[in-house]
Order: sequence, then C-alpha cells, then structure tokens
Amino acid sequence: MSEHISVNKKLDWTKAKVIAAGVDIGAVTSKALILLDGQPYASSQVTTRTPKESALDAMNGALNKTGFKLENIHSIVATGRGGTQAAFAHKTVSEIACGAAGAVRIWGPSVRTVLDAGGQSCKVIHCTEKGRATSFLWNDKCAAGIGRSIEAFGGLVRKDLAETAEIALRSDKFPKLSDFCAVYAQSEALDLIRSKVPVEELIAGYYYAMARRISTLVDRSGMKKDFVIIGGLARNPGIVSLVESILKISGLAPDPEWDPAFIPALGAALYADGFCKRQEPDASAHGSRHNCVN
Amino acid sequence: MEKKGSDAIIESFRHITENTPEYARSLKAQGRLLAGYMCTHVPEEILYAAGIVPLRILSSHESQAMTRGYIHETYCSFSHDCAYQGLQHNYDYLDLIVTSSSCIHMGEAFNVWVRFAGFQEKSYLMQYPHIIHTKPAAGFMAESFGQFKEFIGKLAKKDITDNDLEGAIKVYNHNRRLLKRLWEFLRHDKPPITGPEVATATLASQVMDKQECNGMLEQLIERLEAGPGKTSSGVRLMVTGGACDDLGIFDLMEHLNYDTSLIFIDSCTAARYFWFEVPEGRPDKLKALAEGYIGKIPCPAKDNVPGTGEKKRFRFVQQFIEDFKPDGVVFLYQRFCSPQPMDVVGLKPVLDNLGIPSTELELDTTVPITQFRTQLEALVEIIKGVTP
Repeated sequence: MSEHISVNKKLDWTKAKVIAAGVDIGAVTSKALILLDGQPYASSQVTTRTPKESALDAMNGALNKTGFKLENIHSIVATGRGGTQAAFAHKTVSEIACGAAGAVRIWGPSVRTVLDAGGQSCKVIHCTEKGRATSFLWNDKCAAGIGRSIEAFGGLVRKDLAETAEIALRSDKFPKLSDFCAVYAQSEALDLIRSKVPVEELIAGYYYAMARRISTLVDRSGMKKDFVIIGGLARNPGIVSLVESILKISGLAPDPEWDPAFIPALGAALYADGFCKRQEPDASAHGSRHNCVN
Repeated sequence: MEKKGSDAIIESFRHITENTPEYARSLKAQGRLLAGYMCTHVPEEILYAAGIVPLRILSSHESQAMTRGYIHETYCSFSHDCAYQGLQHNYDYLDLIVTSSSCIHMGEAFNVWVRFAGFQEKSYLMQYPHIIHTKPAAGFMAESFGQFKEFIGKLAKKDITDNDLEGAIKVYNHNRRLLKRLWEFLRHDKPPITGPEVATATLASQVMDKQECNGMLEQLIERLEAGPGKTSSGVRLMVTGGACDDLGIFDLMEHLNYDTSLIFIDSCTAARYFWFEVPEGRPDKLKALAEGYIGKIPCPAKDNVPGTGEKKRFRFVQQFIEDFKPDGVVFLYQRFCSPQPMDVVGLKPVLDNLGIPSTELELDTTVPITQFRTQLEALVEIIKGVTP
C-alpha cells in the first residue's frame, strides 16, 4: 500500500500529449512518478516487499487519484534494483543513468557529481550538463555507508532515524569508530555502550564513520562541481552535513519541493518521456512493447 | 537435443569444466598420475614431461563457512573456495598438489591442503622470484625449476630427459597457439564463436590432458573456420583482472538489456594462462622454461619494475585494446585481493586517456547478479551515450 501519494491538481491529464512514467524499485522503497508533457503530475512511494508487487503498488498508488489507468500511460521506464521485475514497464534503464538525468533536471545543468546514497548501495555518478552519465563508482561489497546500516544502528541504540540524525547534527564530540565495516563499527559501539559512553556521542561517532566511508567513495571517484546528494540518505541531515564537512564542499541545496529519494524515478520518467517523444520503439530493451502516441 | 559441429565440442569443454572430478577420475582409471596446481606460475611442462597430467584447482562456488577457521576472513573468496575443495576431499585422487610462491592468498589455500587435507606427504611449494623484472630472476627461476624437475622425477620414478621436456614444451606451445587462434576470432565482427564459449574452452584446457585438449581445439577451429558468423558484436566488452572461473559472469555480460559481446579476458584463468610461448630447440630446457615464464603477461603480484614502479602488464593491456578494440572495460577482481585492485588505480587513468569507459566488479563466492547487471548496463549506457 502507498505510504506517500502526491498529485499536481494544476495539470489536466486529458490535455496531455505525452503521459510518461518512471518506476524505481529500490531495496528499501519503491517509487513511481508520472509526467504530463514532461511536468511532474503524480507520485507514490511504498516500502519494497517483493519487487514485482511493489512496482505495481507504487504505480497504482501514483495512478490512484489521477483518473486514468495504466493503459493510458504512453511510455514507462523502470529502474532500480528490481527494475527488471516491473512487468508493465516498456523499458529498463539503469539507476546510474536515471540518477544523473533526474538530478540535472532538478538542480540544473551545472551538476557534475551526483552521490546516490540509497538503502542498499551507494553510487557516485559523473554527468554532463544534459544529464548524461559519463562514469560511476559503486560501493564495494560492504554495508558500511549505506542506509540499511544506519537503520540497523538506530535499532541498536533504540532511536529512529530522525532522532539519530538530529543528535548527529548537534554533537561535536564523539569517539572514533571503524569506517571499514558496519558490523565492526556496531561491535565497537556496543563495547562503548558497556563502558558508559553517552549514547549521543556514540551516535555521532557512528554517523561520522559512515559519512567518512561515503566520502571516500566520492574522493575515489573525483569531485567535480556542482555536487548534489540524492537517494534516501539525502533525507538524513546528519549524514549530509557530515559528508559535506568531510569533503569540504557544499552540495547544492535540496529543492524543498522534491524528495531526493524520487530523483531516480524522475530520471526514469524523463527517459520514458524522451523515448516517447523521439519515437524510439527499441532504443534499449529487447522485446519492448512501446505504446507511444504520435 | 544433441548438438552438432562446433557447438558439440564447446559443450564437451563446458561439461569438463563443470565436472572436473569425473574427467580427472577417467584419467586416473587409465593409470595416469595427476597433479593439482594452484597457480599458473607452475611450469606444467615439467610435470607433463614426467607423464603427469597437471590440472588446475578451481573453485566450487559454494557458499560455506568451513574455511574461516583455517584462513583469515580477509583472504579472497577464490583462495577460501580452493581451500574448501581440499577440506571437502574433492580432489583426494590427486597424486600431488603444487603451487609456486606467488599469491599469498593461494599460498594459504595450499597450506590448508598440506596441513589439514591429507596432502602433507604429496605436496610441493616451488620457489618463484618475487619480482620477475630483474636480472637474477631468470637464473633463480631455472634453478628452482631444476629442483622441481628432480622432485617430480623421483615422484614419477622417471628420469626426465631433455627430449621429454622438449616434447612437453612443444605440446604446451601448440595448446597456447590454438587458444590464441580461438581468441583471435573475437577480434572481428560476427565471430563464429562467443566470448563466453572461448572462455569455457580456455578454462577446460587448464584441467585437461593437453594432447586431448589440443585435438579438440584443432577440430573446433577447423569447424569454426568453415562455419558462418554466429553473433553480431554489439558493444564490445573486455575484462581485465584476477582469477575468475565463474563462467556465469561471462554469460551475463552477453545477456544484458543491450547487444553486447565479451571479446577479451585478461586474467590468469584466461589470456594470462596461455598468452606466451616457451622457446623451442634450446640446449638448456630449464633456462628456456624460465625465459618463457618470464615473458608471460605478468600477474600483478609479480609485476613491478624495481625503481620505476612500472607495470609491464599495462603494455600488454594496451596492446590487447589496440588489437581487440573494446568499447568498454570491466575490472573484475576478487574481494580482498590486493594486487589486482591496486592495478586498477594505475590502469584506469590509462583507459580514461584512451576514452574507454570502465567499471569495477568485485567477486565473491556467489555472484550478485542484479548488482552486476545494473553496473554492466550502466557501463553500456555510458558507452552508447544514452540521454533522456
């Protein structure tokens, strides 16, 4: 079931020439976003269960208050970890390409480095002014620095994400914890809890360790300005602030109208819109069923 | 349905790679001595000259925790997996296990076999120079090969003559030439064979009797030369990195959402295994072997020109890029391997200068198909310049 639904009532879908949608099936949440002639119209977010049903749930959520059906959408692009499971999508495009396209659409053509910090992975993407990805670096096979590890740490100290983020923001004194491995870091944190180190310091220490791990990925990739952060962790002010502080750079300010977790879904929708406008029935996927109007 | 022509031979190669113990036992039943080797620095020619069939120890791809008590967690999964093969007694029919002093991770896998898997009395650790690009390396290597020859002669109860060695060198060089011809099909558009199929034959050659393998390769090449092109090339992907015997990864590279072809693999389980020759007709066979093995595409663990930090492997990689013309490169290495990812740091700027996009895939015992697929498809999108 949808946990977030939004519809732009100022737009009239019956007048739209192109209805395009993007669906991003992430490891933690699935998002769907519908564009009318390139303008955001409806969106929805659900917690990912199985990719197939979550893709459908997210899309149905977005359609819920629009008055039209799935069949009315001319082009759908799926992305994300479960992108290939969205049976209703006409094409799939990687979250690397979608993340870059979405970020440039929101923050403008000056964006060159996109940090996509998600629940299950962390990617650094370089792109052109047109939102074309030119290179990327993926986190190595370790949970350190990804959303899940920060959630799990919240369970350890019995605080929710918003609380830990807020505490991390205001603490400037903290112990040094391992940034190599999320499990080692949590194990060290447990030792410190037993040593009566204040939980606020622990939280700040853990956040710093994870932010350092993320920053290392950005450093390895090479920083090119302007820099933006997208993905679920971009909603976490504690991580954002620490990453910017470690990298000694300010990312472009978040657009208050956009949830940064929706950027890859927006990118996917932009691809769907573009495919439709260019009438490319088989630009990428094999056996795609294209439904664009002329 | 029974396959015909080249497909039937490729199927046989795949069967052997997937059922190596069955194949090896058939050799054993013929009375052959079998030696397992853990590193391609071992001069197989010496074993072959003594009538022993060398076969490479490869991994099982089974997720397991057994080896954690024997090898540290931060050793690569390939070494853990190979150690596991010993602890599981999957290769008990071997008459010998041998490795060279090269990769420390595989050295530990070897130690597990020796100390805990019953190979204490039938093992050999061959000394290999740490840095091969030095003047004393060839002499050191020839001496070490001599000691190995003496040990093998005693094991096989055979006086290994120069004629025996020359014969083995010729058989192995022939195998190398045949494998090279097979890979060279992939230099051109619409080759009659795919990259994963060539990788399969190359892997099979590492666990087969070389003369039998040569016979199959000759037949395969003959049929391929007479046959039509099999596939269009699409986006051409080259792999460079460490040991990878998981053919599923190479299959994945040709089954993405885009038309792609795997056209070259620079790794010790592929081109680095055979892309060299040992000089033939030399009076000193051991020196000839040393010269041949020094001329191999270097393993990153051995590749460091003293005082300069130069990596000779990079020259080979650049030559392969020139010859095979990849559109993109995949760095493929085992998690916790040190030398391979270190080479990525030096090699990536070389590729960047050539305008060739690349991505890194980190291997573990099991393959994260979804993540690898996404990374590979993102690489192809970058190559194709996909825009919204």
